[in-house]
Amino acid sequence: MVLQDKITRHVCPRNCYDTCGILASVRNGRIIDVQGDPKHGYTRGKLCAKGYCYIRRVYSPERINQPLRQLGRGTGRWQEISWDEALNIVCEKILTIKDRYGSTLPICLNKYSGNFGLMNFALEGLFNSLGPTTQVLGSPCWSAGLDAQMFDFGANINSDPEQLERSKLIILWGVNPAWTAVHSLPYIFAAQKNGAKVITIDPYFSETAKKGDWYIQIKPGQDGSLALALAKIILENGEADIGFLEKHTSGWNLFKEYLGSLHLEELSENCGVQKHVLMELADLISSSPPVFIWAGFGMQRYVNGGQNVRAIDALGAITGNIGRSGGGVHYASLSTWKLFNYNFLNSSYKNRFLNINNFAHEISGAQSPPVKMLWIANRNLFRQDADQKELVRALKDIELVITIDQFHNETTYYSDIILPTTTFFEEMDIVPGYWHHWIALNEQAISPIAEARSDLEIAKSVSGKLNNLRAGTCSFPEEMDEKYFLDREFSPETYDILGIDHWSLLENGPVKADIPTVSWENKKFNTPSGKFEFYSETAENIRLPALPILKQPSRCGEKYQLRLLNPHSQHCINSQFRNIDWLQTIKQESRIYIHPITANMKNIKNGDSVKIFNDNGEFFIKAYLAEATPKDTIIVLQEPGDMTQNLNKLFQGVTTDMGNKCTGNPGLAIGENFVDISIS
Amino acid sequence: MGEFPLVIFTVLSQLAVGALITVVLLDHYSDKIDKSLGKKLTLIILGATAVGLGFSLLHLGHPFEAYRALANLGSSWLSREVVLFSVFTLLLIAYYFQWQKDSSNKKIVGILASVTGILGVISSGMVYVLPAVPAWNNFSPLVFFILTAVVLGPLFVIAVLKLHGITPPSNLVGIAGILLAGYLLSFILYTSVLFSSAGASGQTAAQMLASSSFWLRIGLTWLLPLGLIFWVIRKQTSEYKYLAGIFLLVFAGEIIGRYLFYDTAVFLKISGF
Amino acid sequence: MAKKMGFLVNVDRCFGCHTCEMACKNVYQLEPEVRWRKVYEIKEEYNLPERSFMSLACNHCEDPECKRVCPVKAYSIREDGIVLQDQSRCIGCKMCIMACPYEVPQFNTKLKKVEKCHMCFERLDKGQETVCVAACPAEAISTIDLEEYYQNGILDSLPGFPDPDITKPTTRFIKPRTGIQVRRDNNG
Repeated sequence: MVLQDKITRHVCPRNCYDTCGILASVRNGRIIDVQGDPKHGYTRGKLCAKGYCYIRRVYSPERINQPLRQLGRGTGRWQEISWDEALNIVCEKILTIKDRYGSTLPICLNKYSGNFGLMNFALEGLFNSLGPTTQVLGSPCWSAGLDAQMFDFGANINSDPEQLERSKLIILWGVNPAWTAVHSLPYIFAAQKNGAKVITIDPYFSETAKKGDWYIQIKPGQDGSLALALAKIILENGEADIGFLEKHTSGWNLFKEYLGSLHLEELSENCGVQKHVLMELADLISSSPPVFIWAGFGMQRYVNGGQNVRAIDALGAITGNIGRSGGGVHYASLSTWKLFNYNFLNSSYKNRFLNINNFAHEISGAQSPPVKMLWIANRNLFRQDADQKELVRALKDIELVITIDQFHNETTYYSDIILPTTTFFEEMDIVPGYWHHWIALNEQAISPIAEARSDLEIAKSVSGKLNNLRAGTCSFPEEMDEKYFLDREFSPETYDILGIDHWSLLENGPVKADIPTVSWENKKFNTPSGKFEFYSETAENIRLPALPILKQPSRCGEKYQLRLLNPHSQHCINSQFRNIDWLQTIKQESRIYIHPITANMKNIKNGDSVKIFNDNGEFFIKAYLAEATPKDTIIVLQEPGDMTQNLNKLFQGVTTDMGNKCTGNPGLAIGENFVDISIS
Repeated sequence: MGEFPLVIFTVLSQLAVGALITVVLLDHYSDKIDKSLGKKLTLIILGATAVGLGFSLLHLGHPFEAYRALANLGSSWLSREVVLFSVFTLLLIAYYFQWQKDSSNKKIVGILASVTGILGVISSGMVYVLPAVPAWNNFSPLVFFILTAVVLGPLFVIAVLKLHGITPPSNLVGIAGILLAGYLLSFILYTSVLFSSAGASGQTAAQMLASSSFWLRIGLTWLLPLGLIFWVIRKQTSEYKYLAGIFLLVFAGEIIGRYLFYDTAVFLKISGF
Repeated sequence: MAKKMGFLVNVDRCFGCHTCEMACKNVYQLEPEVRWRKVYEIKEEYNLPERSFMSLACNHCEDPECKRVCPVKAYSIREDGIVLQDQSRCIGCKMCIMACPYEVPQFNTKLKKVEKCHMCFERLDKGQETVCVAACPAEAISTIDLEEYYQNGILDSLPGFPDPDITKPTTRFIKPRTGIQVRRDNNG
């Protein structure tokens, strides 16, 4: 067969702000290079370092080429089996369980954000076609911030981030786009060129901070104190936008009173920023409209995370920046996500939902019937979850663990069956993002590598096998192709917003959704009052503070006094990309950032091997002394290089204050992890 | 030992050149070398050169394309080195036949070969005179490569003569001793200059001093043979085991020294503020 | 007048994302250990937290040491100053690797030959940008003609960059500026 040379369009499906448009050049059925899609208006023909390495992932010699069965979990004795054998094992187990318990509830799916394509939801679709099953609910990541903005604004939307360019003051609050969203840097630089100032607020001096005009080192989790202090000063200086506040907000008087009751000294002490700096910042904010505040995910991963975001929202409101072109408080947008129908998520059964952030306990606690089969997809559960010890313990009652992945990892180690899956170059999909407003088509560039199958194909083959073994077991439409499934994701309204008649037209290039460029420009909010709500009854009704009030992060105990932060690293997304050889050549040795004074107290010198520990476990790593680190905090980037140790073992799984409203469960307060260090 | 082939090549080629010069001089100033020994010595020297050249090819990614290294005589010392050692080899062969024929041109060919050889050793040295390697970017590669030749050559010939029951001229052992002592002194001088300089040169010296091979070289292969030479001259003995031992120690020293030469060189590179 | 092409590295813009390096690897499908372009972190002294980077490839020197020492004449300088290496001539003697003060020539262990950045001359000839320049999200690298380009404050070296007098690199730098840092330890 002669294969035609072609260029195909793609979308990077990673859990990332940028959701880049990609072009792949295909020759003789093989991708020969990848480029940014110049027709993508936000990423504008460029990728990040990880993106340019995709060929090494697609053609990695480490890819799992065919279904594997492990002869004893954790033994590493893998046996290659055919798809038919694998499907038989899986489906017979489903049927046995169903017969034994008279229900499919003992079958559990744990899936999260490894891929954000619409077709990756086929696995939920499969489960929802079996009967009532056990699934996970919630997000470890952004839950608290989503709720916070939901209470204040009534929806999770943002301005088109291209608006950054129009800003006069950009506040990058708990976000490090230089590492985690490189495509936003050009917009920030453009704003700087137009005279805008950039303030970065972060507990540690990040790469983004280096590029800004101001860097404010904040005590971890004290973002609320800082925001409230700034709001208070601005109000007392008579710089508040009273017009906006009186007309478009609700609960302003109560909040004004509350601000009056706060003491600046206390707030300054809390957040670790001196009063005169607070004054200067407040001046800068009131004198440089429009102010674009980018509230990152970092600062909401605390027990007061949601309150932190609400306080920042309040600061945006007091200064009248909400609804202003080039201004606003931006966290994440679900606008383009919500354009699609997510048919796979529809279920006519009463599923049992476990809290994704308390999974280890809930899976072993689940009774009548217990969970007997665990299916893991789109995530590396045994690397990323909290409370690893309990998770491993919970496995012993699970009769079959199935994992879908491309590579061996901590999760496959604990699995009985691995089903090899495709990369996004080997399947067709639509991938919405959560930051910019573009939608693009992901075409299929090449045939699946070896025997890999897409999530959709896996769902179809399981369904086929089940019905083969016992007709009528599964209602998943096994005969249909991805075109059918994509078709039903689009409604006429969606096509309207995208300005196309059919999704296949996206072959010609990404399109920008016709949604408001400036969020809340018309000052009509989706809250019950239709206004920006300082006072949220919605929050109050679920026993949260009605006002954005000061809440403290956890305090350290007697025994463990150092706060451990683990921000995202530059060249990995959680445990993805760690095994890409090109990236390994530029990776720095993993290290723990310690303030020299802290290190001195522990007799640790630069380059020493250090043990990080608490009652949950220990972790060994090389010391790197840097004054850019706070004295009461140590920092280890999420660089899951080796599989022999796992930082998450040290984290028991404290949860955030908010998250129930938008994601069904609170998020993980991963910033609330206290440890001690010693020389090892 | 990434540069093992180069260690062998440079030491053997320098030994060969030094030995040839010794043979030519002995042939001129004494009657210690008869026809059969002359042929034998020349063959051994030729053999050492050939083995050295063979090893030099192993250093290349593409040994069979080595001939193309002649292309840049205009500026590349490596090209020049290749030419000079090729000519040196041819002249050695010619020299062998001169011994065979007892030709009157023997001396001329011998001198020609010696001069080519010395030029070859000089070009070997010049290969390493690189601004990118401050520790090398001076006379030291030249000086030390020549010293290797003039120290190893006589000691080698002395050992071979003694093996054939011929007592080498007593002043030859003395000359070798003086050269070895001079070598040691110049090396100490060089190392201290390096040590007191900043940057890559200082690092080179520091690495050298930190290496146990360095101290092995100083003690076992410099001081010990020097002591032995001194003792041999005082005792007026010329027992084979002592003379051969001196050569072997110094030869081992040169191998270790050359390994250190490559191993401790610090290259200029881009580094931080 | 003949051109003299060089890279202009804007350290103020560069945020060390390594995109240039990976984009280069992607287009030329380099072996993992072969790095035509490298991003160097300018060392962070712990009492002076800096995060600055130099993205460097071949410096296309006016007096290239690689060209001088290469025994097979694999190196040549184009009219516009780009230093090219003809890999078909290379016999893998590694002289250029030893001689370059900037660690530019890279040994390909599969081919047993040396290779290096050629400033995407084919793309430049077509009027396109080099791969690294096109990929950089920060516009931190560009190619300039030194005969024409002049801007105040551009430097021919930065601390950590070996002495430009040796080979006269054509790389030029814009040095970083520093913002205001309010850190908790200089803050009481």
